[in-house]
Amino acid sequence: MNESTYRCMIVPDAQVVFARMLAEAIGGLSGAGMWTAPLAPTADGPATHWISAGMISPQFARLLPLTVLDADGVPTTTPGNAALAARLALATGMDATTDQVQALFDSSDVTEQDPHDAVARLGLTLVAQTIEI
Amino acid sequence: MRWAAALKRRFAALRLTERIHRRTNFQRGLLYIGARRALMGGKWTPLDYFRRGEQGAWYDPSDLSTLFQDAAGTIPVTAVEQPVGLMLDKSGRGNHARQTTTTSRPTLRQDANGKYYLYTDGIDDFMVTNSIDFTATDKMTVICGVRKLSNAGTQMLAELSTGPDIGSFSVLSGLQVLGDYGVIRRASATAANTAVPVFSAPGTQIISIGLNLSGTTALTELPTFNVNRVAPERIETGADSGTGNFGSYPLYLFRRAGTSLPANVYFYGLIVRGAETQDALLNPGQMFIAGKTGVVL
Repeated sequence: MNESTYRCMIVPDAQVVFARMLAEAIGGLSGAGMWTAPLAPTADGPATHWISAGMISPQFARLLPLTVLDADGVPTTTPGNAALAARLALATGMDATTDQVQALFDSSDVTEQDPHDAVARLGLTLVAQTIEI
Repeated sequence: MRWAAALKRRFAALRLTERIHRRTNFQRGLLYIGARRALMGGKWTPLDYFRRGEQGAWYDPSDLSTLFQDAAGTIPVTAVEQPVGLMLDKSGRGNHARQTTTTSRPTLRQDANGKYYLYTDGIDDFMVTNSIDFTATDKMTVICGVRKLSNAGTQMLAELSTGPDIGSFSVLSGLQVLGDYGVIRRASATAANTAVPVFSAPGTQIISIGLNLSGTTALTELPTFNVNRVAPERIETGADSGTGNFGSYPLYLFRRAGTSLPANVYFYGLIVRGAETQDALLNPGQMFIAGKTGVVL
């Protein structure tokens, strides 16, 4: 039985392309298509960050850093395993170094928070998307 | 003749049923269906909407046997807080809804009344089918039960195609003003849309829509648009979206094209039927979906 675990992952715009490639390289089809929701300080954008929130495999979760907030909102971050993530990506043919993955991890916000709470905590909001009729 | 006596006994039973259930007008629809089913000895389900080969889909999150954690359908959903990567179509048409990206899968949950629903986070959750061929019809019935959690932003509930393409329809909240419910349809010309006034959030609604693309006015093109079986005042933009049948497109749930307008809702069920559904037959579908939400109609 698959025991998925929940993560809310916010990455900066400058890292989002690399993050998407890394997730797809490591996760295959289940990792493709992440970080498609844009965030910004105001709803007008442009996007400064991107968010992906939901259940992920425990194997993927173990690669990622995790920030836990105490009752006062003080964060404690468990580092991810950038070296292993880079090796897994390389094995699929993706050009990724440990330093690149570490830079992604260092700039990302990964928690178990509700995505709306995490977005608000970072002073961001979803970029408003107008409807084409 | 024996068959006449048997028929007479059956009709006598129906008259008794009429006396018991003849309390309110809206139950007459149920009576018609119930009577017919009584003759046939069965219980009404949305499967009845598809018995003549109508194209469409019926999704029921309360039926855990239709839910799987992965898109391939190898890991069943067995409890709440599990992700849903595959939701089987119960109509018999095979229009199953999938999500391959793990973080974009809605989550099965249960509300305070014990009703099962799919939670969509309003960030990136959505599901999508393969293309559903509705090209043989210019009529559509949609019945959807949702609990809207927020009126922030335009939220797509169900959309045939990736946008306002020819032969498409869209059901959403926040079409003209945030918190309203709206329908967009496009037969061949410019898309036309209809909205009904704001419903506060959080709030649970049964949205029922009847479309007929051969109509030449807003009312004849969208003859049915009610929320919780009440037809609110409508705000029309565009009258006639043209002529032609619906297209063959994927059905997107909870997000336009899987990329924008995410919905933050509890999803209790959806029926999409590629046919016109008269009021008497619409009622049991609305009652059925209402039963899944706990809303009393």
